[in-house]
Amino acid sequence: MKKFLLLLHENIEALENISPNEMEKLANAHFEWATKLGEQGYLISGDGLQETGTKITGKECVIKDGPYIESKEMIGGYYLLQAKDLDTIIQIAKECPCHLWGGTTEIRPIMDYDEC
Amino acid sequence: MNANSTNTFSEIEISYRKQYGKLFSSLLFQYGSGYINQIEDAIQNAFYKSLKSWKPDKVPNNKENWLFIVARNDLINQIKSETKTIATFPIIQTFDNDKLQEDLRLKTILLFASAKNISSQTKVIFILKNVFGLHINEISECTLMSTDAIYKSINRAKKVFKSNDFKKQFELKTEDISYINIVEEILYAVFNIGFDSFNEKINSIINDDICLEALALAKLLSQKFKNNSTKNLIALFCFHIARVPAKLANNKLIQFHKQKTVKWNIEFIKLGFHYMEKPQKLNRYYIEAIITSKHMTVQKMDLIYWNQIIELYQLLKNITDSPIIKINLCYCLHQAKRTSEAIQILEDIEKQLPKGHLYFSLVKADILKEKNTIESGKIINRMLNSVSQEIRKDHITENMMYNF
Repeated sequence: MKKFLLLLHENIEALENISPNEMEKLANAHFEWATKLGEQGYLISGDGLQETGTKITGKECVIKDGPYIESKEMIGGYYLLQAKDLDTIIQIAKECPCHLWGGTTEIRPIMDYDEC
Repeated sequence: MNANSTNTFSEIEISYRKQYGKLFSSLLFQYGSGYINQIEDAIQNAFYKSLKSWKPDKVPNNKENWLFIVARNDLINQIKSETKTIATFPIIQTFDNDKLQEDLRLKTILLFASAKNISSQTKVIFILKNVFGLHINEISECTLMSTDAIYKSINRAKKVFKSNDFKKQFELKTEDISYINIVEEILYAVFNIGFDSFNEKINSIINDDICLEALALAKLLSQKFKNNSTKNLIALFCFHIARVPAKLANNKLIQFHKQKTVKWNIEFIKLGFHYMEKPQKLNRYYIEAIITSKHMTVQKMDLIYWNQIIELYQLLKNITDSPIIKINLCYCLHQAKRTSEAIQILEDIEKQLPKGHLYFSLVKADILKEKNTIESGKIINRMLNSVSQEIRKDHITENMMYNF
């Protein structure tokens, strides 16, 4: 089994403007999706991320505190998944509720040193 | 999150819309009407955090409590950062559950109903948003008002609620029972918006959770003040809700008199009769409940029947100036073969209504169908061009719709 990191880039503007009813549907959709992945054995772990954060850049270690409002999208969470290949993960990611409100998912295969 | 979790939660099982109203009311009564914007943001942030934090193996036992704590702490942080002073409010980790369980939505409506220098329509819009948890877009879809007009109304309301006069009134927290009739009007308007929704996103034209919430709050109002008019309002709601299962069939709108009565919910009809109570002084809801119950129990709708209903509408016309009541009266006059009287009233009320008012147009087109076919056809074409909801278009095309 190979491991993949699924990053959820959320559309902040869209999420700020959704109704309580839509928020409830989105929360339920995430919940059901994560439950299904767990039952099918694809899910290793996953969590939401806070909007705030800190970036440290260069030799001088310049520190910049978030949120980084210049960006319309923000990494709002991640899932660590496992599957036999990338195609399987692509099919899984297509169903991620993050897409319902203008979000983007990014799949990053975890480096497998045996294949290097 | 653990992949081996055996937890089988399939959904969050909490109504965010209902929670919005409860949280808004709780925070409003704790922090005052000066912080309405911050309270709105705090609730939205709490919902967003729940989206990220609640996982199949990590759901709080008491979700309402969790949302309240997160929203309250968010609000405190906002107040702290705005005032740039050390806030006196402590960040909380737990909250007295009994206090939280107290539903302050009715109290909030009572308070807003008593506000002066603000129109009833503005109050309804503000309450739809903050007590019933509807988004601006949803209010626009339900009411056919533009989102700009809704924003303006809400901002106007906030200005009044933030004013010192209202703050003083708010601090007293007295419940002035002279405003119960306004609360009833608000609940009635909210119910009607749910019962005859123009929201294109839902397949039906009924937004039943809004109707049921309006009914629940009317029950609370009745328990608290035991007003006869509130009981009759509840009766009216029950008769309407009873017909919901028959209002649609095969994705088509079925008008009242063509509905399959076996589909009507008998329990709600019984409940309607249970709440209906003859008042000492006639009130609008009692008469409307009588009319609806008659429509639901009559065996034969002949001329005698329609003339009896006309008498009831005449009584209603003396109590309320609502143009909808007059439109209904016109429909009944037409059914009783008194069409010229109906046309006279229609001409009088046309000026009171916005141009192209859907219900008015439907009734007018039908009444004119025999006497002035060309005019009737023109009205129908205008309606078809202005209505975007497919289910309504289909209905207009196939036949005519009436609400009572």
